[in-house]
Amino acid sequence: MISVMVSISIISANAQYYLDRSKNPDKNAGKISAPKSGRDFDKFFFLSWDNNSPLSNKDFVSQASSLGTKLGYRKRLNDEDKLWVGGDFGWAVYKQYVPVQTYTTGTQSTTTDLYNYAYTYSLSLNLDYFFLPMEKIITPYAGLGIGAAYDKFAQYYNIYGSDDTSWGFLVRPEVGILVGFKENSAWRIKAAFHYDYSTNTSTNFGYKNFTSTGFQVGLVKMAW
Amino acid sequence: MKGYFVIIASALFFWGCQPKPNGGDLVKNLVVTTDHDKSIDFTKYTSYYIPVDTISYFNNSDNNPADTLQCTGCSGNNNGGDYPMVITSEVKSQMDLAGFTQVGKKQNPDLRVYVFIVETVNLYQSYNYNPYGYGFGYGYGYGYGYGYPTVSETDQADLYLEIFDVKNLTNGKPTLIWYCDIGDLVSSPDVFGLTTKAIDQAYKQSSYLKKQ
Repeated sequence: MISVMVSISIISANAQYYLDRSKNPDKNAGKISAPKSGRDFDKFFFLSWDNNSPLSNKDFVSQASSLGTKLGYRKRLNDEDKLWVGGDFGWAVYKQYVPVQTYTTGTQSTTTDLYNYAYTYSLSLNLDYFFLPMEKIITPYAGLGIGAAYDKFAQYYNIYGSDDTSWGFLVRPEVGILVGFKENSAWRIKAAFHYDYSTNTSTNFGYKNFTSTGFQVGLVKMAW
Repeated sequence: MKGYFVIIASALFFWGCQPKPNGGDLVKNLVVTTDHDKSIDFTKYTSYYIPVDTISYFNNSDNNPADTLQCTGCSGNNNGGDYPMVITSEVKSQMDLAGFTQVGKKQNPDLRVYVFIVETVNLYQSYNYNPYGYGFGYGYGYGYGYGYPTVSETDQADLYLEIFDVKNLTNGKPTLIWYCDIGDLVSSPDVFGLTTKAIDQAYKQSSYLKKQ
């Protein structure tokens, strides 16, 4: 009977101790294990409208492109609510109209107008670091994507044309924010700047690599 | 799961999405290509001959040799409408501007201008077969599938201008010293106007092609 009483007292004492926050400060502040007011989102999907400006070989295409998109998925890496890993699929089309000009090579001359196009596709593995817990309304982040890029360079004139394709290695650093409609929102707006460098080459169209900068705005769906 | 499916389906959609320039914009101008024998000094020539109002026309889908001559005043299948006259008149005008004198065929011209059109028509047929279908082919042959043929056609034509040296024959034959390729005529929205403009451009980009 005495031993039972002692055990109950110890349990009670321990319980008392752990409830006293001043003696045991919350080490989980900012971590996912901290209590949340809503769903514990541990993944998200997004679809973004991507605007890009080419930086390499501007003789072929120099015009900014608003014809682009990014699709992505992220999963929380661990209980830390800061590291998220996932993948992106990117698509962009760059266009440039070159008015009528005469091109001379040796004894041959050709006069035509040209429509230069670059179609770019990318598939990357991404790691994002969020600076604030995900339940905040505004969550800034910085990320890095590495993967593969596939480009098709094409030139159209009258009914004629030529093209060249290339695969390359892609690196894409990115900074951005997710903005929720309320705290721990299931739907959010994504805005981000990214810089793309890929090793794609094309001798025919004068590309030694393909680099660009881009700004994307999109919709994020949080999930659990 | 639905989210993954949407991402994969969207990625596949965009992967196949390669927009091209508007077809109408593409054919607003004809492509003009010229080339020449760089050893030729065009100032040593004086006269030229060109068959007025008449051009040669070759079409791979028409094997009748009688149809290869097209002229403005001809009848039947040889009537090319006003187009042969438009071409030869513009070429004559440019040759005159370059300082050469038009003469008759029997007046021993130094140069002969040959004008012809090559039209290429291609038909492509493919047969799509669905081995798992139960459509039109049911009961025929050994299978349960069905198929259907699809036919597509491409048609393009180029105008060629060629200048031969008929004064200095090589092995008894005239020598090609300049040529011009203008295309595509079939898809052109204004073939008369654009051909005239293209012929002018051909001479403009061949500044060496002149008597003076």
